Amino acid sequence: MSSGEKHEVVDVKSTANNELKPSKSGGILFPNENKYSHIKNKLVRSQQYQKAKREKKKAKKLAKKQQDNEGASKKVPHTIESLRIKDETTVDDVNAEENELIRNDFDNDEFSEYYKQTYEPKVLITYADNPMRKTRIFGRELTRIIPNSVSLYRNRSGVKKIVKSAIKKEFTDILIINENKKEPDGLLVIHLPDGPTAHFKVSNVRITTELRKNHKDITAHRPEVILNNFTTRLGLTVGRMLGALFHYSPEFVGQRAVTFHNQRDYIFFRHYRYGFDNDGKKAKLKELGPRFTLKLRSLQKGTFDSKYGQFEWIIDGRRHTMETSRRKFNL
Amino acid sequence: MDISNKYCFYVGTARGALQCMCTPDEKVSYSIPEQQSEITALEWGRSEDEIIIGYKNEQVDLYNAVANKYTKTISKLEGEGPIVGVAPINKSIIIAKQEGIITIWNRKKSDYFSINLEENGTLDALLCNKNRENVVGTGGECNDFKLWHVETKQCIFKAKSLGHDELNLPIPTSVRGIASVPENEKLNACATKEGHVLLYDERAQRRPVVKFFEKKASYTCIASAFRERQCLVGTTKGYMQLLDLRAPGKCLKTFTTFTGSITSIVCDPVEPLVATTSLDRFLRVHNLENKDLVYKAFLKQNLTRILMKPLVKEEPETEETAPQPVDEEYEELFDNMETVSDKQVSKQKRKSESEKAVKKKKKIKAA
Repeated sequence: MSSGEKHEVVDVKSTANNELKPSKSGGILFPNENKYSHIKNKLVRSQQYQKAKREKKKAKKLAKKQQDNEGASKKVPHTIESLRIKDETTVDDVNAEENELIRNDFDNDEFSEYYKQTYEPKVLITYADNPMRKTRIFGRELTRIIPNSVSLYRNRSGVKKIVKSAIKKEFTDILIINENKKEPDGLLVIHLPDGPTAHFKVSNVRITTELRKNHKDITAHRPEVILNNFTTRLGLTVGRMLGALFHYSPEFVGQRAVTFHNQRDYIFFRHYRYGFDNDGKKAKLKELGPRFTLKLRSLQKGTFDSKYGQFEWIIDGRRHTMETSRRKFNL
Repeated sequence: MDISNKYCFYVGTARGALQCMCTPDEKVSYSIPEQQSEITALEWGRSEDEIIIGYKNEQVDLYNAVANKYTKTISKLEGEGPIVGVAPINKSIIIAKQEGIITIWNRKKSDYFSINLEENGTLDALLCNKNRENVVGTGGECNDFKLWHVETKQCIFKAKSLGHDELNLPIPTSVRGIASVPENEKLNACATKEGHVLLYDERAQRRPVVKFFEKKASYTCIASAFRERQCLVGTTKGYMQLLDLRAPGKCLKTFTTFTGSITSIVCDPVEPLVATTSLDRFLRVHNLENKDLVYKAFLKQNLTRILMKPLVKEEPETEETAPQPVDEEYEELFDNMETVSDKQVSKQKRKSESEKAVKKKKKIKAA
């Protein structure tokens, strides 16, 4: 009882403290002065200050723990993602009755064959002309991640020609890595035989050596693919497209996972090996590398034709109108 | 501008569904055919509530807009390639295929003719002018604008190429859309893949009368606007331009609210309203005067074709409302008035005025 009372008192005090801002009672609030500024010895002063700070932090932690024990609902932090402006194309539940047309779209689009598991994807990875070292290694690492893929040099061929010959050789997707200033900076994903084509900006590429990892840790097992947080209609298409690069049945023995995590329209790629502890309750993750970030620039109907092709979505030339709010996202 | 209860839109999608949306903000009704394929042509049929739908898989459906049913499927037509255009003529239907074969389909018999394309040529656009039956316009890749007489199957008009550029290379024109100018049936405008808008005058010359060239653009569709000699064109990158086709062609306005390629445009013949479908799955209605976005609807699939039907205002309702504001007292007053001869005019008038005043006072009191 007594402890409960005490607790209440504390609560009242803390709330009072929080609401103290404009003084209505006529009392004067002095500016918050540092208690230790009068100490002249620099070392002692800073020690005192650090000590007080530590105690404050400890108290805060304790209060939080107490709150958790009481079972109070967790507060959702206000981030620009949680405060996102609702996009009218967001698909909450594909199986809902009003989304029959979307389901119908999925059943008949270019990726429907893959999701019916009628073919195994076969991916061609190629580069811009004269790729530099990092770009080449990056492409090579992608072949380790994507099962049944080959990396070939482009040999000064045009994209439209590549598309034609790749269809003949029964490839199902083409990835073309572009580079700028010796760094990979663009990724073109072409689904064969009739599109669509997506163009991504690539940034923050870290190849395995830069992450101080060894590529020999990457096994040849087919990885699991995790597509996270693609919510809008456009996002779903992009997610389906990225998912269709990988084989549909992963080999769980390998314990490899590849994630495409969408956050604020940036798609983060990570590659992990996971493992469970002895109880089988907790999972450990080990990053294998590489890692990179994608941002969608355009999605085009049909195979690559930047001049005359019809775009399903394009941001080029209208960023001022489309990026009006920091809380508005497209994927 | 308020557009509710004004229009009925029929929209064709890339997956073959036909969506009907009457009176915005109401629920969208849709129907899906058995064999699904992209809708590549959509046109009003021979009767008021018939819609002709052409698909990518070489099939044509007839749809009844009142019963919301597919009434007939036409398949096994001559030629190969997707249907690029359909149009009603009298009791028969004209169906054009990409390979360049135009079929005149009738329930009993069908007739066809080929427009004899070059090897790499295709037929991409078909025009049928309501004011000028039996004449169709065609155009496509490596296939300049031509006019054909359907009955005689003869070419009436054949456009001349644009000639050569400064490097002496032929200027390519691949027609993607044709529109007729409503006030003059001899004028036809073409929009090309390379960014030309060409106005042809049959009476004058085989070369275009007006040439408008936008280097960066690649046009997908064209529609005549409500004003004289103006047209609307849509690009692959999602811009719509309002062009003035009086020589020399000029761009008056650019609409930039789209995020995907524009696939078809319809303009109201009287009012400055334009409806567009886009690959970004939105149906938009713009005001042409001030570029305002009047209406926008998310229709869940890539949209390819649009038809617009202005709803007729229900007139009997207005008739009912009209006789209401009749003041009975006032009527009575006039009924009681005597017909007057010329001599008594002044006196009678005064009297009636005073009477009115009294009545008015009474009214005020009553209120």
